[in-house]
Amino acid sequence: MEVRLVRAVGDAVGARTGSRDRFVAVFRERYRDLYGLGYRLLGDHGEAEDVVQETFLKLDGHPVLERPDEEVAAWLRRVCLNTAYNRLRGQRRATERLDRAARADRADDETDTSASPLLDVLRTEQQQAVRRALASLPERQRACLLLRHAGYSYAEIAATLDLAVGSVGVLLARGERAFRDAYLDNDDDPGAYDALP
Amino acid sequence: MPCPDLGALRASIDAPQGPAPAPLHDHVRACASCSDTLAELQRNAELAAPAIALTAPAEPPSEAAVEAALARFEQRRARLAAARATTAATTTPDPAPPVPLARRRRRARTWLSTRARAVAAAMVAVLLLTGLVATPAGRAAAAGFLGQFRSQRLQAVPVDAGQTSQIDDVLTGLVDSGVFTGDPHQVAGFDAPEAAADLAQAGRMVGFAVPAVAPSVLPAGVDRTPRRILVSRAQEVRITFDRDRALAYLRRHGRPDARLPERFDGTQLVVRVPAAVVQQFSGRDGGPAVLVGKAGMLGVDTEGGASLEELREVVLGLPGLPAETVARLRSIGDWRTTLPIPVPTDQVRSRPATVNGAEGLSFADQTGRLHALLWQRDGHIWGVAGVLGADKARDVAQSLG
Repeated sequence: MEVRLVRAVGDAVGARTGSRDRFVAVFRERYRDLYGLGYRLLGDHGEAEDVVQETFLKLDGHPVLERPDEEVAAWLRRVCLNTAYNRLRGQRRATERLDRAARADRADDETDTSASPLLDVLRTEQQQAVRRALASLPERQRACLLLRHAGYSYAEIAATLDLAVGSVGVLLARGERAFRDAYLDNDDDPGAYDALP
Repeated sequence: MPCPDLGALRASIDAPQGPAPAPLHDHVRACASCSDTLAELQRNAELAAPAIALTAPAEPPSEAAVEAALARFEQRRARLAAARATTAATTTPDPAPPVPLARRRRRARTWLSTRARAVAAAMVAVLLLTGLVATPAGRAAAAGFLGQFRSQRLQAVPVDAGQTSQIDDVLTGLVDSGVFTGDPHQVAGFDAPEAAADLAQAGRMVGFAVPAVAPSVLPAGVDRTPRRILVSRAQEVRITFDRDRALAYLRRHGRPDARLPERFDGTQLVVRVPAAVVQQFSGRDGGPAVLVGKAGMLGVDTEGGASLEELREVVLGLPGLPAETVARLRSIGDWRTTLPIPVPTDQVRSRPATVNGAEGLSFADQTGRLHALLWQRDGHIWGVAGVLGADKARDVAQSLG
């Protein structure tokens, strides 16, 4: 049985040896971007890392790996976003997750030796307000906003969300409008940037 | 040209080649409806950009972190392959145990070492007098919010991210090379404010009265009473200047002809850090939403051969400091009584303000949701900050009398 096991493992691994270098190169090239996307959605380091690992597990041995770089990148972003959304839709409600992230962030703030505790505390509050507003948006609008404001081009967003490039602007415009309404609705007196006391 | 659709108008804001294509541009200029729509889209984008930027991780994974993640991936992949192979070979399901992925870790931040931070804390006098509290080292020295409430007058000193980084590099170099040294135990309490049961107890701990905030002026959704009352007691910190190491430092940084009088050696800066109280009011989710602070005054002096002014000159003349920041600090007329408040221009805007006739500064972050006021009155520095509007911040401030 051991011989069969070793042989089977060898087959499973060896069959894809030719694409191994390619996979590792893609991993190194894309890890940071995917982690950033996962973190923006989930607000949690460990969960973001889990999502990226799951994303690359799906890439392992997938035929898309033989496609051009930009197609692989779009495929990875799509899978990463879907995996993150699945987590958000999981057993726990998104709001519970947000609260947990807020508590964890707050615990960090209370125990670290931050150089600017005031700014950290307030920034944590702001992050939660932004995530709540984003969570109220339809998934495609949310993804479009996150991608655009993470610096992706319209072409990259279109490839990720399987849209026509010409549709990105509409999705973005509607998403930003919805975000504004949700974000400002969280605050009874948001004040204006220029209206300093 | 007919009116462009919403998507084209939105895309014109992001057009990589600059302004919108000429036909669209011409149309918008002539069409009030499209002009209004474009203005609204611009406002929405300007609101969303800094807000969504807050959701980004503090730092991207380092190269080492990526390699560690790859190693974990390979380990997980090998186990899954083994599990599949086992199943195939024995037809007996024997799933591999789940490989624990990295659990949530504390955010990786690069701070000064404990020693450096402690010694940096002792540099608070020079930092305050030269405005270098803009730096992480300086802020640590000043214990952040609690420690920056001092001096008799306030003056904003804008610093951008590059200037902050330059200043931080210089300070770190000074501390690491032993130009300034202090007793780390002296400053151990800086990062650990104590909790008081109520305002009366807080007042007894700091030696001055702490006024309650009128519930009616607090924003909706915020607790009417403080969730926590944090007290930082007054303390004295001493920092020693090492002339020989300072000369060595200057020579290493392109000043081979630097001269410092021998009498400077061993001069101690004596910093009397004032007591401070911060009332923390929580929002709907229990997190702090509004902070109200009051602190005493800072006292700084020197003991030894160098005067405060001479040490200030040494610091302002250090190589590597941003020229613009140094010029701004030198332009402060009465530097002995003026506390330069660093304003990171990439995060915060500030302008002069008055609270019940007292001069101060107001601040807003990029999203316009965070506002703060600092002002000085009756020998104390006061502050209000939080997730509240500009008017609310002023109401809270003015209610303190």
